[in-house]
Amino acid sequence: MSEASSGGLTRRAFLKTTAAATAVTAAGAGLSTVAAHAASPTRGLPDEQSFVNTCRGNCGGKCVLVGKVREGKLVQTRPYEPPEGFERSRMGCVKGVTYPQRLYAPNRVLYPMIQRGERGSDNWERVSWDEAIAYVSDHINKAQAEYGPNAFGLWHSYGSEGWLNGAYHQSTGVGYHRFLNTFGGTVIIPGGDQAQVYMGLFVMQHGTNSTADYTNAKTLIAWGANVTDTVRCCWPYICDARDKGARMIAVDPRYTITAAGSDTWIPVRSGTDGALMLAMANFIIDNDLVDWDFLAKKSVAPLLIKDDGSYFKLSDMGIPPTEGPISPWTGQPVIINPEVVFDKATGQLASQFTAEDPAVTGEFEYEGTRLRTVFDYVRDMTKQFTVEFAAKECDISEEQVIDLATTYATNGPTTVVMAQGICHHVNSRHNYKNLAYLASLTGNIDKPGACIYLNKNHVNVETTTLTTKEMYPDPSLMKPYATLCSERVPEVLETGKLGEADLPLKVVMIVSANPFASESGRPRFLETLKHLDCLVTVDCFMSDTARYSDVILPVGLSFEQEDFLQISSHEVDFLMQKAVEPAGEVKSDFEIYNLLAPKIGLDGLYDKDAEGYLHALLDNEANKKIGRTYDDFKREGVIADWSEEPVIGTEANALKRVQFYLPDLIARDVAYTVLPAEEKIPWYEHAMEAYQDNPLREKYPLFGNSEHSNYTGHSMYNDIPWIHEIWGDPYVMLNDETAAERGIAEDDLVRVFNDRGEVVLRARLTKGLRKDSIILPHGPQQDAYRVGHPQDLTLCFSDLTGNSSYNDFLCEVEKWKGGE
Amino acid sequence: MTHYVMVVDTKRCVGCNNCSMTCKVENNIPEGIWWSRSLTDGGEAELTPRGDTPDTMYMRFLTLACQHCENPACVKVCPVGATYRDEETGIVRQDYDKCIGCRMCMSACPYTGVRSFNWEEPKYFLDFATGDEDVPKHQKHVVEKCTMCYHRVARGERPACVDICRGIARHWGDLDDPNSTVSQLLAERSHTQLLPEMGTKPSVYFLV
Repeated sequence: MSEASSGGLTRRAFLKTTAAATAVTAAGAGLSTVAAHAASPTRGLPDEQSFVNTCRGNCGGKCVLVGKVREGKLVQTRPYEPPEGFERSRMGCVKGVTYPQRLYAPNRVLYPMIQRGERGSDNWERVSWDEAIAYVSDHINKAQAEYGPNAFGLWHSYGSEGWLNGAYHQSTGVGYHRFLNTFGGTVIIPGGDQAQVYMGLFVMQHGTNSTADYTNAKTLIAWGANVTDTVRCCWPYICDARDKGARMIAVDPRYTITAAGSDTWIPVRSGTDGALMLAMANFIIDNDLVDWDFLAKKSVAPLLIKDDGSYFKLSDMGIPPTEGPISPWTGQPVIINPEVVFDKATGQLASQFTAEDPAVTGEFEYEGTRLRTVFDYVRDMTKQFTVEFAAKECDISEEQVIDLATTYATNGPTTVVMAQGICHHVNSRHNYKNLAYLASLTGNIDKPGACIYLNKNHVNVETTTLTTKEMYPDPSLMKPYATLCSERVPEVLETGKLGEADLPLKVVMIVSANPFASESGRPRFLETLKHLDCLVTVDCFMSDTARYSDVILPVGLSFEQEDFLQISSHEVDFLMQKAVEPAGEVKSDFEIYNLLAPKIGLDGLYDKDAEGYLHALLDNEANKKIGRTYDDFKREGVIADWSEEPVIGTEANALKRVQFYLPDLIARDVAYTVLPAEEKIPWYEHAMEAYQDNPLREKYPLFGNSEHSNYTGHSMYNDIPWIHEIWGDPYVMLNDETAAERGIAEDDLVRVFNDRGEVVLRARLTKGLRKDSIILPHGPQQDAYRVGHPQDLTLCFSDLTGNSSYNDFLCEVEKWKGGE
Repeated sequence: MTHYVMVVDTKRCVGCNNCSMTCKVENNIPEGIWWSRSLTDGGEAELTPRGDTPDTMYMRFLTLACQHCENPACVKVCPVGATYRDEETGIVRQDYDKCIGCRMCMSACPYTGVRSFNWEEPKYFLDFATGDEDVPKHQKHVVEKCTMCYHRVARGERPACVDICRGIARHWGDLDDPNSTVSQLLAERSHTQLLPEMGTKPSVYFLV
C-alpha cells in the first residue's frame, strides 16, 4: 500500500505544506480575527466550514469554540486559538471538545411535550408548538386573572448566554429582559453563589484585579478554590507567579489538584473559613502587622459611627447635602453627604474626602453625640475570634493559623484566589466582609498582586446590554415584578407568602436552569411542587427539572442559533454563529418569548427580529469607531484585544473605600427584616447543620461537601459518553480510614444518607481528604445513580442573601446492601 | 534531520484530560479506545494523592501515549513492517493496511496501554466521523495508537493536544534544532522519561 491510502499524505506534500504554514505563523499579530476561517471554506474544501460559538456550559468561562461543519454535521469543536505569545489566554476544557455529542445526544428534547400522567411519570405526549403555547398561556392567563400578576413566575439560572437568548437576571438577553420588565409577575433567581454575588458584587463592590495580575503576587492563597478544575484561566498565571517565587497556599478540606500544585495545604474543616479569617485579623492587629496608612486612607476603618451604628455624616453637623451628577440608573442627581472622620492633621472632624490624616482609632464627641471609629467598633466586637478559637473550630494547629496570618500580612502582595468553596454554607455571607477586613488591615487590595476577589479584565464593546434602550420595552408597557431567590420557593408555594407579602405563585416557567439537579434542597422543591398549577420547563434535554414538569418547550443549543457574547476574562467579543440547522422543532429562547408574549397580553413586546436587535445593540457610534458593529462581527466572527497587561481594581462604591462594615445592609428578598448588628460587621457563626458540636453528629458524623468536577458543568455535559469513558460512574470521595471503619473498599457501592434523603454510588478512597468529610459529585442527574440524588441530602434554607448552602449538611455512609 | 519530541511540564499539567479528549475527537477514535490518557502519579486511585500527612502529600499527572521511541521495541518485532519509524520526522507510524493484527507490537511495547487493537469493526457514538478529514479510517483487526497527529504535522501544524493545553504544559518541536522551545526547555529544566532502562529512547520528556 502507499502512504497516501493510509494518511492521505506523501512525504513530498509534507515538506511543501510545512514551509507554507511557517509563513502564515510569522504573519500573526496582536489583533486577531477569525476571518481566515470563520464562515468561509477551510482549506478550499467546499463541503467543510468553520463557525465560532461557545459551549454555554455555565462555568463563567464562555470559551470561544471553533466548530467545524462537514456535510451538514458539526464534526468538531476546538477552542479558538489566541495568537502566538498569548498562550495564557487559551480557552476550552475537556467538556467543550465533546460538544458534537451534546448536540446530537439521544436525550435531547426535539418537540414540545405535555405530561399526561403524574409529574415525573414520563408519560409525555408530543404536541405542536401552537398547542404547547396555548396550554401554557391558558394556565398563565387563568392564574393571573384569579390570583393577580404575581401568580406567574419566571425562574432562571445561568444555563444559556448571549445578548438575544441569555437569561441572567437584569443582564444579557433581550428576549428574557424585555419579557421580565413587562410581564409583571414573579422573578425567581438562582440561589447558587448568592452569598458572594450579593455581598461582594452588589453590596460591597470591591475592586478586582485581572487574572494577569496573579503574576505580581508574592503569596497566593487558594481559599476554597480548586481553580485547576473550575477557573482554568487562572492556572497559567499562577504557574508564572510560582516560577517567579510566589508562595502558594491551599485552604481546603480536600487535597485538590490545586492543593497538589501549592507549597502548603491547610485542611480546614469546611464551613469554618470565617473563623480562620477573623483569627488572622486579630493576630495581625495584636502583633502590629497592620498597614495603618492603607487602613486609614483606603478603607472604612476611620469613618465615625454613632451609637446606633449608622455613619455620622456632614448633615449631622448641619452641613446640607449637595447634588452631584445625574445617575444613569435613576435619572436623578446623586446626593452627596460625606461621612465624617477625625482628621489628626487639624484635630477637627472633617469630610472623609478632604481629611488628610484620618484617625483609625479613638473616641470622639459632637454636641453630645458619642462617636467612634468603625475600626474600634469592629475590633472590639470580634475579639473573641482568637487564634486558639480558630484552631479548634477549623481543626488545624495554632501554628498554621499564625503562619497563614503572618504570611498574608508580611509576604505580600497577597492575592486570595477565590472560587465558590467558601460560599456554600449558611454562614458564608460573613466570609466576604471578613476578607475585606483582612485586606484592609494589610493593604492587600487594589494594588498590583493584591486582591481578594474574583478577577476580571476589560470589556471591549462599548455597549453593555443593561444600559441599552433596546433591552427595555416602551415605558408604557413596563411593570414592576416581585423577586426572590430559589431557596425561598418551597416556602412561598406552601404559604402563598414571601415574608409578610402575599405571593400566590401558581404557574412557573423555568428557563436556562435545572434547579432540581443543581440547587440545594431538592426534596423540598419536589415535595412542594404540588402547590403549583402548572410547571413549564424550557430546556434542550430531559433534565431532572424537565421530567417533573407539565410542559417542556424544546430550546436550541448554541451552535443552532446566532447570538452575541463578550468574554471579559479573555477580552474577546464574538458573534455566536449558527453552524447547523436546529434539531427537530427546537426554537431559540428569543423565539419562544416571541411566541408566548402576545398570548398573555404582552402585545408589541418585540419590535425587531433577532438580527434587528443585534444590529441595534451593537451599531452605536462608539462601536463604529472601534470597528465592532454587527457587520464587523458578521465578517470577522471574533474580535479580540489580546492584552495581558494586568488591570488593577479600584473601589467604585459611593464611599470610595474598601467596605468591611455595612450599616445599610438589607436582606435581599425581604428588605424590611431587621438585621442584627453582627450582620453588618465581619463575623463568624458556625454553619447551620455542619458544625462540630452539633448533637446530630452522633447519628450523622460526616461533613457533606460537593465538588465541581473538571468533568461537569453543573448538570450539563455529565451524560456525554466520551466523558463517561474517562470519568466513569459518579463516586463519593471518602478518606481511606473513614472507609475502613465502615468496611468500605475502593469502588464499593455505598449509601450516603441523612434524614432528608440518600444517594447510592461508588466509593473512591483517598488520603487527601479530612477524615470527617466526604465529597459528593455535583452535576450528574438522577439517572446516574442507583438510588436517590446527592441534592436529596441538602438543606433548603435562605439566609439574607438567598444563598444556596450545598455543603451545609451532615450525613453517614454505609456499604450498600442492595447488591451490585 | 528532524526529530519531533513531546515535552510535558508536570508542574503545569493538572491532569484535565483536555488533550486526551481533543485527541479522541480529532482522530475519530472508536468507542472505548484512547490514544492518550492522563494518569495520576499519586495514590492508588485516580485523582488521589500518596503520603500520610499534609506535608508529605503528593499528586502529579503523567499523560501517557505512544512514546515515539528512537529505538522502538514495536518496530523490531513487527513481522510485516506495518509499524515503522519515519526517518524524516522521528514519528513512529502505523500502517493500517499492512498490519496483520498479530499484536506482537503490543506485547513488545513496554508502555502498557498506548497501543490498542480493534477486535471488532470500530464502533462510534455518532453516525458520522468526527475531527479531521485527513485522519486515516479506523479498521477492524489492526493495531492503532497516537500518530503524533501526523496528518496535522504534515500540514505544518502542531499535534492537536499541544494547541489546546491551557496550562501550557505541553510542548512539541524538533529536538535536532538547538533553538527550538523543546531543546531549550530540556537544556534548562530537569526532566525524566518513562522506563528509560528499557533502552527504547522515548521521544516524550516530562519536566519535573
